[in-house]
Amino acid sequence: MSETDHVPPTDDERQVKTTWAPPSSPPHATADQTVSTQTFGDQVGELAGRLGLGDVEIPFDSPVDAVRWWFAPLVDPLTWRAVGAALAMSVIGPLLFATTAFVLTTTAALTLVVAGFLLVVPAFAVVDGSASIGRRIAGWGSGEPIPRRDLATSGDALVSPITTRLSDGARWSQVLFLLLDVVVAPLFLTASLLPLSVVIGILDFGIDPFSFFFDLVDDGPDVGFIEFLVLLPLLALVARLIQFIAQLRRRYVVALLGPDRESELVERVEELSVQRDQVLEAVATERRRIERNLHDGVQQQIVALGIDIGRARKKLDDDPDGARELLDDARDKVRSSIGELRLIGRGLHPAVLEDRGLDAALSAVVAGSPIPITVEVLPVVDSTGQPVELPSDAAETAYYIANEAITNVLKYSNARVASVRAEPDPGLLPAVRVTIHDDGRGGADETRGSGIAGMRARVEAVDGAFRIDSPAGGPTVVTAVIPLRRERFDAGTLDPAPNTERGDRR
Amino acid sequence: MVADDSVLLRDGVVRLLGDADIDVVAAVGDGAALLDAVVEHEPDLALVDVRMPPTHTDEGIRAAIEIRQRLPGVAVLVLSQYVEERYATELLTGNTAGVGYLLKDRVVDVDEFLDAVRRVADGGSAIDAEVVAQLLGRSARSPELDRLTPRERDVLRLMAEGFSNQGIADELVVSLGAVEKHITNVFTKLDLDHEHHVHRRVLAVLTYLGSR
Repeated sequence: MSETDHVPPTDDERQVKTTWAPPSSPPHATADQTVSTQTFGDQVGELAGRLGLGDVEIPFDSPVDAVRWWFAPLVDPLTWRAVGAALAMSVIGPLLFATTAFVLTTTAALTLVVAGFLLVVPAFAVVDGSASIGRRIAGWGSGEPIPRRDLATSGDALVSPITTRLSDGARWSQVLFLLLDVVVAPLFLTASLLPLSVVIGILDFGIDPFSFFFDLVDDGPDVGFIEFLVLLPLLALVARLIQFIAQLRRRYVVALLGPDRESELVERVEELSVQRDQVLEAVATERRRIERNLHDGVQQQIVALGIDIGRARKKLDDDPDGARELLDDARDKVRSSIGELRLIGRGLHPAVLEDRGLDAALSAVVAGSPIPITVEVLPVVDSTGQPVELPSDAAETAYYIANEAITNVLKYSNARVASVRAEPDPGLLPAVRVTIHDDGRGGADETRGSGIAGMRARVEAVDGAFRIDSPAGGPTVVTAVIPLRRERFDAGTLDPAPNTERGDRR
Repeated sequence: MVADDSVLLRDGVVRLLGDADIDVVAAVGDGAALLDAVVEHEPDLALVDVRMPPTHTDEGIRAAIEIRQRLPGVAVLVLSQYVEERYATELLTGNTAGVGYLLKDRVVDVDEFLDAVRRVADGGSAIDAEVVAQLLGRSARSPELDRLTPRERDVLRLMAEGFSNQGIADELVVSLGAVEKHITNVFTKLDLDHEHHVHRRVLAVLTYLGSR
């Protein structure tokens, strides 16, 4: 099929975009592909173009897709949670407010009699507890828990806990939240439910634009049905609004009770420092190992090779047959050295991984194995089922883990059979899961320098997860989950920024 | 006898020596076995690798020093993977007759290697050219060394490597008399006592260079 009259819009031409971005967008037909049928989106876009509406981007493959997307929030449990949370806080809020106000004013009053100072610590404990309730509800209502903000800690002395609490901004934020929320929570509740009541009101009382439709079908038996059909899309819109408002509420709660940027940064920096140290150590260990391999292995071979050649040279005149024999020995040693160098090179960075991918590289690793090792590599696919190429550092890490683990299997485990598997990780984030299994004697000990600590460091350095199950007696399972995208902190917002290197669609 | 933990290398060296009609009475793979064998066989020369089990650090040097102390009649030639000046100086302190320190690579130059082996077994010395080159390189800025002519510097280098006067004459393709003259000049210019015994000369020169 060839393109005839339709040329898909290029990136420069796509300027007008719809405001509500759908959760997962199917890829647009690119200029490189020849399309036999236009997608629904293309057709609408073309129509809009012809009507002079400018460039419109409709990222749907079919009308069914569009409908499905529009109505999704109605059946999304998140919508109901949002309403539930708003209701809950409106009820609980006043209680928390009352408690907080009581506790704080009592404490404040009693400070005139010094006894109040002793109450400061428990008072703020009450505040903390109340604020936590609010925080958890808000988190539940907006889809994801809200982590708490770190509160300033103090020593065990008598005075310092009091002064710490009185001067801690985070704690006063909590107080502010509890005091404000008695007013704010009901506001959010109203905002959530108001559109709903408007819609129902329209329905019940038939405000003008809709009575037109109702009159039209007044004499038909499907009045209720028509009303229903009109109502549903509006309800979907309402559900969308409810979720949106829940997200606004979440931002408000996070601003008062959630982790602040500075502590997030500090935590991330600490994490990175630890990871960096681990990586440096793993790198140093690996370097030593390479040096040893080169040194004790290849270098000795080459010196021995040199001896053979030196001796052969001396024998050339008097004993040519002996010389020839020595040269044959020399050639054997050369082959052996080349083989050893190849192994060492493979441990460093295998060319086959880059040229032909993980499957081929892993097959090469197990090729010379004395025991049968199966290799299974399932490609990672994106939302449309297209296989995704692993980023090179993820592929290298996966390869390295598999290589190390297999080396350990062959060296230590006495296994009869083993397997390597690389597949998409079933978790939330795109990741590849590498599993190495052997039926050997187990008992692998991370502290005993068999490279396990190095594997862990490598995986954790790319924000992955590493696990080894190796009970004494076996079997041993090594699992590594390697994310395909690393979390990066955007300097401006401090939220994990989308990794844009692979051209994510906006 | 030969001591090296790499079987490949040990075999090669043994064969090499065999080709040259040198009788190898023992071949061992670690420091303890080395000492036992030396005591048992009392060879003319013990060829020893620096790195051996169990620690793979400097077993060879330790054993060599011990052999020199307990059995001064046994010459020791130490083979090392890389140049370590410290080892060279440690070996040479005290009795310097019949001591050698060479890089393993030298083994590949069969003739030179055998020459060094015989020299050390006869009570002389053999210090690897690399070691000497490093020492010379380091002391290049010394004003006394600047006083030497290039020829004299060559002679100095070869003395440090443990060559006898005849050996130096052969290397530089000059007459024995010329060599002796150069040597006298070197010692005078460097303000050193003129040592005539090769092994003492080696130590003197190396110490001189090492102290720059």
